[in-house]
This record gives sequence, C-alpha cells and structure tokens, in this order.
Amino acid sequence: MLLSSATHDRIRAEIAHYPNPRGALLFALHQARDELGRLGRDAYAEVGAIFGMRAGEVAEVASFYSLFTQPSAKAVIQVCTNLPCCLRGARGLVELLEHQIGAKAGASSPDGRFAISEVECLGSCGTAPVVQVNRNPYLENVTPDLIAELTASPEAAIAARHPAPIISIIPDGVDGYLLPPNGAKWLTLDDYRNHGGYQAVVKAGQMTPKDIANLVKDAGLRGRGGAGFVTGLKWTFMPPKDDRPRYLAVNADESEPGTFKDRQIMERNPHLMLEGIMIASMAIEANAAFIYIRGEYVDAYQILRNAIGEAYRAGILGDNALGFGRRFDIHIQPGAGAYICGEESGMLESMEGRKGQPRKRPPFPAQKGLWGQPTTVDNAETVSHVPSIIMRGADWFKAEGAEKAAGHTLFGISGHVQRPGVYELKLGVKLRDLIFQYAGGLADGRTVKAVIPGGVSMPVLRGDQIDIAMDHESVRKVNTLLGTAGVIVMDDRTCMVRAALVIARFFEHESCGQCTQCREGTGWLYRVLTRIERGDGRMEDLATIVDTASYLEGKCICALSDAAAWAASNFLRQFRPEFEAHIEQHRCPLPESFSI
Amino acid sequence: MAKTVHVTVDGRTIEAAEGAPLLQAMLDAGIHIPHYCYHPKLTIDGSCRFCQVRIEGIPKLQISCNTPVRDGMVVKTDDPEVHTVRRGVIELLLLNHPLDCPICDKAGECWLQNYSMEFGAREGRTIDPRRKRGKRLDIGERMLLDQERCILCRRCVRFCNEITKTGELHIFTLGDHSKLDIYDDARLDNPYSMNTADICPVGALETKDFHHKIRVWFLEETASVCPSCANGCNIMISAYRNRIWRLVPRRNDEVNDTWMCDAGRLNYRFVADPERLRAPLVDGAPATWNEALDRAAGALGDFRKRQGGSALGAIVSPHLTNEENFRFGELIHALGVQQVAMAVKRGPADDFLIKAEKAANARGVRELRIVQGDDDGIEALLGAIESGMVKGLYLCGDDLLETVPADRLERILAQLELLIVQTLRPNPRFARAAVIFPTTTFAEKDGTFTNHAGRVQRIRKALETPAGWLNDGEIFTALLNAIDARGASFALDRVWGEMARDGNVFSALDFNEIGPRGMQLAAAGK
Repeated sequence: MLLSSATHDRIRAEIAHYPNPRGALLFALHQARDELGRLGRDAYAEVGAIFGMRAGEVAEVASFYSLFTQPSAKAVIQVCTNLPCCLRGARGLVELLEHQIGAKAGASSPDGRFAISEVECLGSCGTAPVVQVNRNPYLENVTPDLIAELTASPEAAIAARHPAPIISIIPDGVDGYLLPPNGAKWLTLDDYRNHGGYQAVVKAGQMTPKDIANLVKDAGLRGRGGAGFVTGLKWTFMPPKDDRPRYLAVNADESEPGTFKDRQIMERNPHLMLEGIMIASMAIEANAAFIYIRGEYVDAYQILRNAIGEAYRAGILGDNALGFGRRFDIHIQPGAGAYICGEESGMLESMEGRKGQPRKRPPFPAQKGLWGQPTTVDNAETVSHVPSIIMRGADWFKAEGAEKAAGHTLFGISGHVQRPGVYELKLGVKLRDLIFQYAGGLADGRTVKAVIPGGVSMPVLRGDQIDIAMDHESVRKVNTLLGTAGVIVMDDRTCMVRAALVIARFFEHESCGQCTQCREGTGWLYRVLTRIERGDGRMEDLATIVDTASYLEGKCICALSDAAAWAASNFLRQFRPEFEAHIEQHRCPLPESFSI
Repeated sequence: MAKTVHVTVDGRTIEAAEGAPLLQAMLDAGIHIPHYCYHPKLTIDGSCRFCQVRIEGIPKLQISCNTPVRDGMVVKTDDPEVHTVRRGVIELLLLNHPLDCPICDKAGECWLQNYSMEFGAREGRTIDPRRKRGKRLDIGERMLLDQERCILCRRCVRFCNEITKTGELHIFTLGDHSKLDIYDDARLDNPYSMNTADICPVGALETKDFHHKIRVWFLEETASVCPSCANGCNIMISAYRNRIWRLVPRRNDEVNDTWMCDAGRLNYRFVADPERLRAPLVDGAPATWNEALDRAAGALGDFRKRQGGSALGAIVSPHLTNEENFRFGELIHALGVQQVAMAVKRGPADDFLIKAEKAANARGVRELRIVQGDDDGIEALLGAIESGMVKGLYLCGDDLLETVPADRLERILAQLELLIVQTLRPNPRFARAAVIFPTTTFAEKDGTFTNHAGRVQRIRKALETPAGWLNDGEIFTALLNAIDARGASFALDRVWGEMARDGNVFSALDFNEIGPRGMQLAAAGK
C-alpha cells in the first residue's frame, strides 16, 4: 500500500456522499497526489481497487486532468500564461523562473525541488499574473521579487501572502446584494445570519416549487455562467417529480479566461451561495445538490466545505433541512484542471468520476443528468442571486438591471486597466464606464485597442466599439455576447495576432478531444497562428483560418468549438491589417507588445 | 416491433422503424451517409460528427446517428452546411494522418481513403509538421496499433468496453494530444481482439496475421461459415491464387452479430497445410481416386458378405456438411451398419460466441438422426469394437484421435480387420487402413452446416480443388453407387430433394431459399 490509512479513511468518508462511489474518484486522486507527489501505475492500481476499477481506467481518467499530470517535483510552480496573465507579464516570470531553477517550463530542476508548469487560466485574472505552487493558495500580483522569495522558500512566500487580497468591490451608489460590504468577509454562519442570512430559504419553504420558479422567472434572472438562459425557465424543464432522485449541480468550475467572479462569492460570502442552492433545489425538488469547484480553488473549496459543515451542524442541512421539512444535502467536489469541465455536461461526466467530455444531447440533463437522474445545472453566481429575489421580489430585481437583463452581476475586468478586479454593478452598465470609471482606465497615454467582453470565448471588440451597454441584448448589436461578463482590456501596444494565438493555444490545450473538428481544428488554428505570429505566415493562411472556423462553428457536441472558431475568426475580422502586416513583414510590427 | 414510419431524405421518401437511428434508416434505404464512429452493434458515440444532416425545423445540423426517426421527418443532406461538415472532417483528419497507405493493411478498404476521394479536396494545404506517434506498437498477442493513423472514433474502445467487457483500450490525455493505447501490461489479448481491426475504419488496428501480407484489392470474397465451433459464425473467406489470406466476420444478427473469435479467424491454415493428404492411399501407398474407390467398395462389399453389416461400425464427422452426412447415412444404411457414432472434439467455451464443440455441424448429424445417445454413440461403438462384435470401421474425420485416450485408441484400431478413413493428414495410427481418402475442407465445397441452435447456413466454395478430386459427399455417393447401384448424384439440389423425401427436419426447408443469414430448423431440440 502506497497510501496511508488516513488517506484511505478520507476517501472512504468522501465516497459516502455520492450515489455512486466514483463521485469521489477525483477527490481520491487529489488525495493520492497530495500524499505521493506524483501518480503512477501503483497509485492508479491502489485507487482503482477502492473503486472497483482497473488501473488503466483510472490512468485514463487521470490523464485528462492537468492537475494529475503535472511534472513531478517537491514544488510544482504553475504559472498562468493565459491572456490576462500574459498581458501583465507572465512570460517574463516564466523566463525568470527558468533561469533561477535551471529548468525549462514543463521540466523539473536538477535537484528535484522545483518544476515549472505553464498552465491555463487559474481564474484570478484581476490579480494577474498568478502563480500556484502545488495545491497551495495562489500567489497573486506576482512580481520578480516574489519569484526570488518563492524560489528561496515556497512555504514562506505562500504563508506571507495568505489570505488573498480582496479584489471585489461594490462601487459607491450600488446597493450590493452579492458581495458583503467592501473589505468584509462573511465566512461564518453567524456572520451571515447576523446580516439576514437564511431568511430567504425559510420564506421559500412556505412557497410551492412552482411559485419559486415562477418568481425567479418573473424576476428575469438569467444564468451567469455564460449562456444567459432564463434561470426560472430552466428549472421548469425538470420532469414531474417521481420516485427518482433529482439533483442540482452547481457549476463553480470558473475557468473561462477573464472570469474570476464566482471565487469572490465563495471566498467572501459562501453561505449566500449555499442558501441560493437550497432555494433552487426547492424549486426543482432536488434531493441533493453537488457543487463542482475547480481543483485549483483550494481556499474557496475549504471555505465552502467549512460552511457546509457548519450548516449541517446547525441543522440547516441534513435530515430536516431548513425550509424543506425533509432531508436535503449539499456536497462539494473538486475538479482537477480541465476547462471543459465548466461545460455543463462535461461537468456532469467529471462529477461522475470520468473524463470531462461533454455529452451529446439528447438526452438533456433535466431528463438524464447526474448519475442518470433528472438534474438542473446552475452557475455558482446565478444561484447566489436567488435569496435576494425571494426576499425583495421580482420587481425590485428587474429594477436593478437592464431591460431583459435583470439584476446585478459581478463584472470582472482584467488586462491593461489600472484597477483590475470584480465590480458588483447593474447589468447594462456602459463598457466605457466599466473601463474608465470603475477600473481606472488605462495607463497614461495608452488607448483601448481591443476588448473581449465576456471571457475569451466571446467575439472581440475594437476600441471604438466600447460605447455599448453591458447587457445580453445590447452587446449583440456589436456582434458579440456578454458571456461571463469577464472583460479583458488590451491597449494600443498589444499585438492582436499574439492575443489570438494565446487564445488559440488555450482552446487547443483544452479541447476535450472527442469531436473531430474541435480536436483537429483547434490544433490547426494554433499551428497556423503560431506560424503567422513567428513571421512564417502566408496570405492563404488567412483563408485557412476562416475555413477552419467554419468547420468548427456549430458542428460539435459543445460550444468550445464555437468559441475557438469565434476567437480566431473575429480577431482576424476585426484586425485583419495587423495579420497581413505580420505576413508581409515576416515579424510582429508591434515591438512593445506583451510576450508569450 | 416498432411502427414503420416515413421519412423524406432529399425529396425521397423512405420507410423506417420509428425511433431507430436516422443514420441507420438512411443506410438501410441505400442512402450513403458518411460516418466513422457509428457502428450498429455499439452504443452511439456521436463524436466523429461526420453524419450530420439538416432536419427541417431544427436550426442546427444534427448528427443523424443520435437522431431517432420520427414520422414525417424531412431530412436534407444536399445542403451547403452539410457539405462543409464533410469537407471539414476530411481535411481536418488528414492534417495529421501519416498517409502511409502503401504500407497500411487497410489501404483499399479504408474509410479515410474512400471518403477523402468522395468529399475531400484535391490538394492539401497544410505545411505544418504532422503529429508523431507510436507506430506498429505490439499491443497484444495478435494485434498491432498505429497511433498516427488512429482517428479516435472510439469504436475499438467501445468494443472492449461493451462487447468483451475487458476494457483494454483507452484514450489517454485530451484534445489533439489524445492517444489510443493499452495501459501498462494489460494487453489487448481477449479472445475477440481481432474484431477491433475489422471495425477500425482506418489502419490503426491491424492484425499481426494479415500484416503486410497482401493488398486487399486482390482478395476474392466468398460468403461462408466458420468451421471452428458449433456457433457457425458467418464469415467471408478472402482468397487469392487459390489460397486463404484471412477470414473476417460477416454480419448475421441471429448468429454472431458482426463478430467472430480470434481462434476461429486464425483457423484456416490447415487448408493449405503442406502435410495435407493430396491423393488417396491404398494400403499406405498413393493411388488414383478410381483405384481407391474400387478398393474401398470392394473391401466394404467383401466385409459385409463375410461378416455381415452389423460387424461394421461407422464414425460420422461433425465437420462434414448436412448433405455429405445425409449421403454417408445412406451409404452405411446400405452397408447394414448398425453401430454409428460421432466423435466431437471439445474445448473451452464462453457465454458469447465460442462453443465447446469444436466442429461446425454436430447438430446437423444429430438432426439427421444418424447417431443417438448423449455421447453420440461413441462408447457403444468403442465397446462393440473392444468386445469383438464390430470388426470393421468407416472413420470420417480426425476428432476421434483427440477424444479417445491414445492407448485405448491404439488398442481399438489394432483390433480392426477393416479400416476405411477420410482424413486431412496422413497419420501413423491409420497405417493399417485399407483406404485413406483425403477429406475436403469447408473452403473447398458447397453445402450447409447446422449450428448449435439449429440454424442451417450455407458454406460456399472459395478454393478450387485439383482436377479429379472428390469431396467427401462425392466419395460417399460413388461408394453408394458401387455397392447399391443407385445411380445417385451429389448435386446439392438433388441431395436436398432426397433429404426432403426422407422426412427428417430438413424436409421443411428449401435449399434454394437458404439466404445469407441461414434458416432456422422448425423443430427445436435434438
């Protein structure tokens, strides 16, 4: 036996939470990796024995997840090199690290103490650049000095910067209901109850499931996970209640580059999310809710786990759950570093202990979701709006936003702005105001060249297109989508080919690999853009990009292929002369651009 | 039974079972829809994205494999977006394909080649390096893997998960780094492993047996039945220059779906065995067919006259066809033989295709009522020889050699005064045989086998025999004519006419109506 009996005990205890033991597989693999430092055949065999799986099956699942396939070292330094971090100097940090530890990214240092790994978005774009060592809390706003500290003593550097700075703000004049007052964290049950917490669930307990759904529908709450679907309407897609168990699956796998809002709720107001989960579960008559949180969010995971524990001890969850008058459970599952697990059906697969490859539809989750049972999937922020809607009503909620886009949202803003962060604002705020008023504008003398309005999956805007309202309908007028409302701002020095390349690299890295077009097409887009960026492009490559995008768009199981297509084709559409300049001059014409 | 409904495809109305996969319905109607991951005997995967069609009323294209047929559905395949899908899938798959068709066993029957010709561009536009992966990886006793050719359709993975439930194949990592492989020492060695090569649309999975042997376009295919066990899996015999190069399964949902076991697939070398008897032997020396027939007829006639028919025993071969054994039954009846038995070699079985009886037609012998008893009369016959009641034996086939302990067999054979044998190879045990006729294999003749479940299935001649050669049925017929002056012929329809008059279970069937899927005997049970 490689694993200690304490680890075995923890795994067994976790298994008890799930209708099928495999729900705890990713948890078990985390435990094994944390204990052993690496995963290999014997570990897979031992974990497999717990779950009745062959070693190869476990190895196949593990190979899908970046957190289980990192290079082996005492301290694996993972540097986010996605767009928001690259825009703020991540590449320089990697080079510095390579120099200091004497190993290239992807490899381990000769003494085995360190390894550097370039990773995709860590979901903390507001404090870019970001570094994570093993599964420790993040190091944020990382500077060269911090790198020196880190390589001297990782433990000390991490401890000195924990907990993370609060970067979410309720601006003056906003009646915030998602975030606690600026600077505050309501981590304990008492904190939350002292500010009116868990009253909404009692009130909802007096309502019928249908009334709850109708109220939330009337309020016009739209999902905050990217698609913007009307939440109350989605709840009504659940089949009539029968003998089968029903589940709410909560998507806290925040990993769309440019998006870092859910973490702010989880780390500052965890009970709000739990209360929202409870009310949503009442509406769909769920027996239990499962939160899937990205594996890198170790603080948020622990905070939520603590909050759930507190709620059980206080009788809010469990046999006679508050407002339910029946048993209701909430459990939290860690992901393991795969963007696609943020796609709802990829998430369900991952929650069931498999590779997070999205499911073909039909069947839809409401028909056959988690463990084959009727399931509703809601985003972590989305459910957090629900308690206030219950307490304050649909009309209030509608008045707090834009037409057809009710309520506040947590706008994340990152990239070349002076005050990146998360801002709780009404939907419909002007993009220009978001950039210049709330986020402090750009550095002196710089102008806006490009803005991605809602995570890198959404079509990019030019700097002259920022006079739009940030709500679902208004952004459509400029042919883009609100997505997750994670805004990435790029200034006039920024190379658009390079930006498109970083995004293409991300999709190439994160395509789950099942659909032909997405698997092969994301790779091709990445290779063609790499060549253009390097100065080896040909004019006909631009037609290849457009064609490849047409091969991907709307042709695959999930929307990742659409996103990859849109990113490449829209950067080209919006900034074609810059692509042509790269090809004609055989180099990047913007010497001051960020490096990759 | 699902309701039959109507679907319109590009203006043409087709019939289909409600709820069936639209793709299958279109394929069944002869409408050609490209696809890779869909396989009728595996769960629907939906990942190759090749079979997308436009369905009226649905804004996005739909994969037809995962679309259940509904009445009145209006489908369009001649649609610009559908063409984009087809062009896209091919161009994208070819980006990293090694294009090593000259050394690929699949060339000529490769779905990437065929679809590229049909839907692909006439020139490639990638100049980027192709992905390097493992080639000719030894992943099993009988299997090779080429990861560069793999298009990740997951058919083989599903086969190992759903059909054999052995799960040896995995797709590791993700995105365009995805890689089909076995894990560690869990090799692809299940008894059905070679089916993965059949269902692989490209040359990623190859059998060692067929590796670099011959171009498939030289092969002539003959629909037949596997001779290796009582299941009677339907097969194609692939032959070239009068030699078998491979056996592959042929779909028959009543018998073997689209699968066959590796042992059966590999059991064809005996046909071209250089040790095989190529001419009859009379008293151990090569003789002409006529000499052998004369000698056999003479010896049998004399023996009957001297000892009476009841002193002659016969062993029927479960490897011969129903027609041959019917004729053998007539022959031994004419000779007055009373002790008749059948020896059947037995071996391991499973609950899928592999049956314990390692012969294709034991059930047929029983249905003809030539043999009786739980052991098909073997013990009674051997006992009769040992007791001296039976002194002559007409022995068909070699199974006796493997079912009776060697020392007992030796004693028994030594006791015989007359031994006539039909066998594949010369064997020192038959040294005292008056006549040894070469037997004819399943691949060299026409006829029918009756499988363990009573399904009568056609076998067809795939290989020519030398001029003057007689197959087993023709030998029996010639001897019958010599002994009984019947003037019988071994033309199969004539034999079936006689079988019908005989009143056995076969009389309910019409030989000419036995189609590619065979026919079930009406009366079940022995």
